[in-house]
Amino acid sequence: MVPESREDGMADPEDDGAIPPTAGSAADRRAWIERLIREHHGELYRYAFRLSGSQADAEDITQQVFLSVCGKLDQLRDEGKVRGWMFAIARTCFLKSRRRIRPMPVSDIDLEIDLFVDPQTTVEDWDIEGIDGESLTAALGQLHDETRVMLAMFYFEEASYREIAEALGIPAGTVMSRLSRAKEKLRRLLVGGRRTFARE
Amino acid sequence: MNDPLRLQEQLDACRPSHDDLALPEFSEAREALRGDGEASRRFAALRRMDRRIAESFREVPVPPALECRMLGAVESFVAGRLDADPPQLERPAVDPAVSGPARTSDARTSDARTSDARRALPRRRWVLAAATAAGLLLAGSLFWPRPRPVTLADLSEWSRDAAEHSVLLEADAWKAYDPSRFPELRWSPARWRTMETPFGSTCHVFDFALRDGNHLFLMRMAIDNEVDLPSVPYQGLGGTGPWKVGAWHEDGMLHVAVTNHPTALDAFRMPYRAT
Repeated sequence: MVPESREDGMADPEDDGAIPPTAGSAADRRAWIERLIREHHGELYRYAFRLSGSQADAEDITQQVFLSVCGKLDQLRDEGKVRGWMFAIARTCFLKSRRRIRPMPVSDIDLEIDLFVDPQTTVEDWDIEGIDGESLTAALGQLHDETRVMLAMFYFEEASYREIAEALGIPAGTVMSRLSRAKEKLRRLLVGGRRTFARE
Repeated sequence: MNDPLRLQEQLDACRPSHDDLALPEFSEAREALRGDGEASRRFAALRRMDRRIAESFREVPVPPALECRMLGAVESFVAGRLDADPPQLERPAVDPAVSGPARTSDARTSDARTSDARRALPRRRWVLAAATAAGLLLAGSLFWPRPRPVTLADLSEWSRDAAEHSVLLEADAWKAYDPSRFPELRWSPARWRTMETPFGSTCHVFDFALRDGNHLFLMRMAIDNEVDLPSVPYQGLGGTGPWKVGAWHEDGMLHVAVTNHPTALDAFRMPYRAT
């Protein structure tokens, strides 16, 4: 049973007295891993699916994350960071898998989306209720891998722009600009529209 | 705040379920909204949309058997890696109340059985670990990506895609050409960059921006894969659309020239390296 200890419903095993994985016996560590899988497999799969857009790839990435955690358990020093650690492994697995199938198809090329924005569309026209998991999948499929990573960190992990900058090794100001452009493209793909503030 | 783009960026950096606007670094944006009802209304709409998108990010059905598959997938790995108890946990736990000369023969018999069991348990673990390792080695030998021969069709298709991609890349994706870095180049390209290839290597892409607006891209890479190509002059690989492709080996490096100029590829018929 996944404990609903966070506002977003995500499991957080560190909050309920989880046994430290590197300090206990083998049985303790095995139990800790199994518990990690039970509590986080769904969340990791969803995250991986949002990155890859593919069920098979998402399952592969999820499995790779848990195998990596098993293999590097002794390196875990701060259990409070295990969730972020697993997300980071998932991102790395995803990007590595994508590099193997390069070159990037021409259809993936990041065109300047502002060229195609309907100048008449405003925030009043946004059909927010029409956004759902399916339409999001289609929209994300049209974005760069790196753009999807940034959006997943923002929307799924709820990482701040500073946390994203630290995780990706990019200056915070650059992340802020790229994140804004990425969100603009996503909005455009989901509901149309143009820059909310920068249109004047 | 007078810069609407900067305002947009700051507001886009605010997470939908956090009060990031209260952070000190967003004080300008906060002030801008405070004095502008229209901007506040737009920001509210932005937040609503962000929350809806965040919800949609989590709207992914999880396969019902995923948990079982994950547990099963790591089981052998866990058995091999985690069953190695820390040394202090392998030491026999002797009850101080029955230690020393006062221990009975029953207790000694029990200790012996326990000791035998403890010796047997690590043996089983070693066998299991060895079997797991052998299995992993076998699986690795079967599935480990080994270099496969690269066909000329592969090379042609990839290089044309790469050239089309390169044409559309933003200027900041390129670096200014530095002749001292590539002394072997006979001609001076306008710019260069690195690029991952599907052949497990990174290549250098040189853009010889031509005066008529066309491009000639030269891609150089060291790959382990077998590819049946001559040394100079190049072998034409044909191509579709405007792109013509030629490729050759030189100095252990694979070279691919791709151009949308009708005759520029002929320049590479002559020895490529400066003499």
